Amino acid sequence: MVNEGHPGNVIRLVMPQGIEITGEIAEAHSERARIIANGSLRPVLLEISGVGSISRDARAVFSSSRSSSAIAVLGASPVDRVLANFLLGGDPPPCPTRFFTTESEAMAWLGSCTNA
Amino acid sequence: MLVDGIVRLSRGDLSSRMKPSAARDDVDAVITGFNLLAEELELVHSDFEERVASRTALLHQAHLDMRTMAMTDSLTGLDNRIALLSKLEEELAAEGDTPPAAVILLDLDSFKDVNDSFGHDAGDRVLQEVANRLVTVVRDCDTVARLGGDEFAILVPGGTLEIALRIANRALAALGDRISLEELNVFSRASIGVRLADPGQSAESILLDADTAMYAAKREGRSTIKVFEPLMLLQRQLRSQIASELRDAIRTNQLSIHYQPVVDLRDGRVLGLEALVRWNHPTRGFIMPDEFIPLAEEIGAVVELDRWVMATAIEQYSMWRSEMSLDDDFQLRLNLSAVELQQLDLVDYVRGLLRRFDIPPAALVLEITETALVTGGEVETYSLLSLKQLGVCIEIDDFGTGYSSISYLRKLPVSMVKVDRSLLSELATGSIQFGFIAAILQLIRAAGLEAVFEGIETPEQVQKLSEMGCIGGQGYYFSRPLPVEETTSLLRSAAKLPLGPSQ
Repeated sequence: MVNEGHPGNVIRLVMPQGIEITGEIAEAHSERARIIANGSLRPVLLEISGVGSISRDARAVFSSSRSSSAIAVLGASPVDRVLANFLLGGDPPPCPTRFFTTESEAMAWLGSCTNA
Repeated sequence: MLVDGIVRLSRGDLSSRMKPSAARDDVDAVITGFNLLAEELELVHSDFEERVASRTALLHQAHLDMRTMAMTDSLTGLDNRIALLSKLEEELAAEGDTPPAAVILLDLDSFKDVNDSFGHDAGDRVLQEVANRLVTVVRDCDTVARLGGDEFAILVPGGTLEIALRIANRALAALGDRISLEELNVFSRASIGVRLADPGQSAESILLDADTAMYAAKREGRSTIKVFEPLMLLQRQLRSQIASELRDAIRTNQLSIHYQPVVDLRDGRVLGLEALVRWNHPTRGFIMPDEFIPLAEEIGAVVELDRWVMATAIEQYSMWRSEMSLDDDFQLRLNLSAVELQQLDLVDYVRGLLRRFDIPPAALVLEITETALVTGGEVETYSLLSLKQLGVCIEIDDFGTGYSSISYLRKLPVSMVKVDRSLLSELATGSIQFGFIAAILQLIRAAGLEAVFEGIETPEQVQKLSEMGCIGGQGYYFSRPLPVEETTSLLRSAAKLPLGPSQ
C-alpha cells in the first residue's frame, strides 16, 4: 500500500503482515514508489511491523533503491527490530537508513534528512 | 524448542528453522535471529561447496588437458611415443587368450633431404600429410603414433603377423604416392619394421625390435618391409660396435689403401690404378669396404673417410711419380661418395691436394656412382662442373646398375664410364650375350665417352672386349687390388700384364 500526500512528501510503503516479504513483493512496492517519485528523490517510510520474514532478494531490492532520499524502517516488536536490522545489514543503501519503533520519530528523522 | 533448534544446527543441519510465535517477543526475536543466521550459514556453506565443486572440475579438466598434451604429438595430433607405449602395455597386460599385439615401425626415407632442400615448414607439412595417410590405412582398433622426427608407429592390437603385414603393405602403398603441397612435390617413402610381440615381452623391447627390423629394411634398400628376426639384433649390435671402432680406425691408421691396376686391353700396359680402401681390424681381420663404407655413411664419417683416402692415395701417387717414370696418360682413380659431392669445399680440397703434391689434374680420375650423379641437386652439379673445370676427369662408376639413359650420358660433365661388373658376370651365366655388351659400348662411344670394364676374370672376356675395341679393363684376371709394396714393384717392373693364353 502506498500512501501519497503525506507531509514532507514521504512515501509510505506498508509491508503485508504475517508472510515472508519476497523479492517480488519488494519489487512491486519499489516500482510503485519509483512511479510516485517520478524521477525525483523522495523520503521513504518502510513499515515492516508484523511481517513473517524478509528474504535476501527483498533486501537486495530495497538496498538498491534509486528513488529514495532516505529510508526510515518502522517496526514495533523485538522481532521487527531483528528483521529491520537484517534488512539494513545488506549492501549499503545509496541513502541514509534507520530503524524506528515510533512513527513520529521516524517522520521527524525523515524530515530532518530531507531538510539537510 | 529453541534448544532443539540450536542442537539441530550444531549437528550440522543448516536447513533447520524455528517458527516464532505470534507474540513476537524477545524469544521470538532470538528465534528470528537464529533463523537468519542459519540461512546465512547455509548460503555460505552451499556457496563454498559450489566453489569447491567448480574448482575441482577445473582442476580435473586441466589434468585431462595436460594428460592429452603429454600423450599427443602436437604437430600431427597423433599419439606420441609415451601414449603408444602406454597403450601397448595395456594390450600386453590384458588377461585371457587374446592374440599378441604387433608393432609396425616406419621411418621415412630421405626425409632429411626434404628439410634440407625445402626448409622445416615444408618438412612439417610432409609429416602431417604422412600422418593423414597412415590414419587411413589402419583399422579402427589400431593406433597410429609419431615417435619423433620422421619416425611413426602403428600399434596393431590382437593382431596376427598376417594382419600386421597387410597394414604395413597398405602404409607402404599410401606413402608411395607423391605428396603435393602447393609448390612442393616430394616422395616420402618409408622403410618398415614389424614385430609381433612374444609372450611376456616388454613394450620397450617390442618397440626396439620393430626399430631393429626397420633398420634392416632400410639397409636392404628402403621402401621395404622386414619382420623382426633375432639375428637382426645381433647384426645391429655388431654394426654399432663396428661403427664406433671405425671412427677410431680412421684416426689411428688402421685403414690402408690397396691399388688395382686398370689395364690397356690392347697391350696389357698399366693405364692407371684404382685406390680401394681396406680396414685391417686388430681383432676382426680385414673388413671389406662394402661392409664398412655404408656404415661410415650411416654414422656420418664418410667425408672423413673419403678425404683420408684422397690425401693418402694422392701422396702415394706423387711418391711413385717422383721415384719412377710413369706413362703420361697414367691416371690415379679415386672413388667419391655422394655425400662428398655435397660438400661445398670439395673442389678446394681436391685443388689443394693436387697443388701440394704437384699432380696435374688430368692425372686424377674421380669415380662417382651413377645414382649419385643423376639424383644430385644444385650443390652436386656445382661440384661436378668445378671439378671438370679444374681439369679432373669424372667417371661414371657402376654404369648399368641404375639410371642409365642416353640423355643423361650426354648431359653430365663426365668423360669416362666404368661398366659395372654385373654385366660381365651375367655374360658368364648366359643371361645376356656379347651383342648386348657391344651395344652398350657403342652407346657409350656415341656419347663421346671412354669405357672401362671391371670384373674381368677370364682371357675370353679380354679377347672379346678387345675385339669390340674396348681399351680399358680391370679385374682379378689381371690383378687383385695390391698393397702399396706390391704395387710399387709392379710399377717399377713396368711389366705388362698378360692379356690371354696366346700372349
